[in-house]
Amino acid sequence: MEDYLLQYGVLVVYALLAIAVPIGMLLISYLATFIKIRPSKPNEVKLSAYESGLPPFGPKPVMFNFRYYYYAILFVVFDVETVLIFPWAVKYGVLSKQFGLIAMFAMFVFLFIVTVPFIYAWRKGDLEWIYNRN
Amino acid sequence: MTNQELWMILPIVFVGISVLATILVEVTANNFNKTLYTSLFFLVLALLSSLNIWFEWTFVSSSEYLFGDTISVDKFAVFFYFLIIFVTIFTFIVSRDYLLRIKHDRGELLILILLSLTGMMVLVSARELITIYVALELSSLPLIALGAIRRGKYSAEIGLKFFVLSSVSTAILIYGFVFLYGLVGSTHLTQIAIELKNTNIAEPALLFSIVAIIAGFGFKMALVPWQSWIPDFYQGAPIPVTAFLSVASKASAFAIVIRIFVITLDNSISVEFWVTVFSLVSVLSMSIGNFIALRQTNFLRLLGYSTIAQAGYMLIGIAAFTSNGLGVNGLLYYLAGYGFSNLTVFFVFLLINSKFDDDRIDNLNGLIHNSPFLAIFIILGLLSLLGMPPTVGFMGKLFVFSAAIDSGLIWLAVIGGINTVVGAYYYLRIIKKIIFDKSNSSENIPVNKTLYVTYSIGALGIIFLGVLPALLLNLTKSAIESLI
Repeated sequence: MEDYLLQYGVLVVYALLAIAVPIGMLLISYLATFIKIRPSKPNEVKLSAYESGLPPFGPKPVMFNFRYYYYAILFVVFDVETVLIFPWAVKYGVLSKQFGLIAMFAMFVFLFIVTVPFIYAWRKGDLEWIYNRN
Repeated sequence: MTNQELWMILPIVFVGISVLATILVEVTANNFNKTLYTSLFFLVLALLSSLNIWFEWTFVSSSEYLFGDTISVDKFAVFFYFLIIFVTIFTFIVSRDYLLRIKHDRGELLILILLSLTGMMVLVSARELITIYVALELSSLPLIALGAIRRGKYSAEIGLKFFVLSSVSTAILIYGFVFLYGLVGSTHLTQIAIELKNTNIAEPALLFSIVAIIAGFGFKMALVPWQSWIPDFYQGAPIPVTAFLSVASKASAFAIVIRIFVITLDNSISVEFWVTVFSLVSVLSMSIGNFIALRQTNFLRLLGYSTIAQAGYMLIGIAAFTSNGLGVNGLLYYLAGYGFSNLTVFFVFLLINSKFDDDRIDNLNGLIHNSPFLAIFIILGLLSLLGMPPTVGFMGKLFVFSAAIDSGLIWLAVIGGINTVVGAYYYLRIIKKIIFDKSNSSENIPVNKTLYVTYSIGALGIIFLGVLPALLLNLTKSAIESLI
């Protein structure tokens, strides 16, 4: 029982660490202003919510760059790939005992199938930001 | 997965590999011919492995239920493999010149057709509701992109229209599946059939789910209340895509409808209900399709309405359920014959269209004087669609109508006959234009040898299967025996 609860102890330590790191970073950065290492020169771009991203609010409906759509689609491909690899990776021990190396090569086949459309997008120039078909 | 299962699904695997291989060749070799030959190579392999299953040469088991009864590669499925793979191969061969002429997205057209073919191959052998749904989506999503691939005047419109209508119809289909699952508690067709026979459920929910499933597949089969996308798609999509869709998509939808209705939902209450619904839908499709086709001036739109009418005739085969398999037999025969005649008409028109770049019927005027061979081929195809005696179209209609009479639906056969006469008007009108009207131009259309070979295969199929129906009847009979 105690061993069981001890597993949660690890989680607590992890959570504390996760809270401490960003607070510590902000704290060091704040302290650094006092010794003139980090001069504070705010401007409009720096203070925006996503620096170098799209402006989060605009006066009228914001125009998107259409090309985000290709990236969204490619992202979905890899996202689904990851989702399907996880259960395989977790159960790999059991699978390899039952099927041997086939368990591994089955996943390679799947990875190959997922990679082919990526190759297609790459060769057709859909990954380049400035679109040029020829 | 056992060794045997792998041998049984080889046709599907080869078509799946053909998609990947075609993509890789398309992006590496900058040569359209290589792309085309790669896809054809794997399609021929798929055809050979289907032959292996049909004749039980190697490693083929008699037990046909694979992967936990989600897929069955029985002879019924293999019959449809032959049909849709042949359609794809002919589409690819004939559309080579057309694709060489268009500058962009020609490899993509092949790839998307192959993807859709993969979905259709799974669909015709699926025996489980979720597999059916996934396969249906795989077969229809590439078709949406294919409809809009040319970026012409109508492409955005048909892409959007087809996308919205197809998703709505799939949603309705899923709704029907959900009700069926709720009543029976299983997604396996075998289990559903057993459960329905034992408990004899007679709830409105069952009838509702039947209507929803018919609505979902009616969209794919081009039946009347769900037909509005057909003429637009036929007019706007590239002709090879339309040729592929008109036969392969329809055939696969009919295959799965036979599996779901004739085999699964065959308890007395649901049979009585869906026979009524199918007869009504069939009458509507035949009549509305034929009557609207009468006034068309655009050849592709006319073929679109004609395909709606043809779907109505085919549906008689399913409505004639009590004829002991005769109806389904006639339906399979009709589908194969329809494949031959419709593809011949489409492919000849593809060539004519490439000269005029516009699809009015008047472009066919006086074709027989300029290019007599093409005219003979297209006239044969049209006669077969109409149902003239020495052609395969007549035999198909004969089998379907006689099955209707056998199962006591004489009124349906009579309406079918009347509609055939109505349809004769617009088919014969085109033939009259081809033979008697004055041509706009006097130059003949160049045809290369490959095209003559494919047209001749179509024409030989139309005539031989019309004269010697036993050739095909043996195949359809053993397909149905494996099913029942």
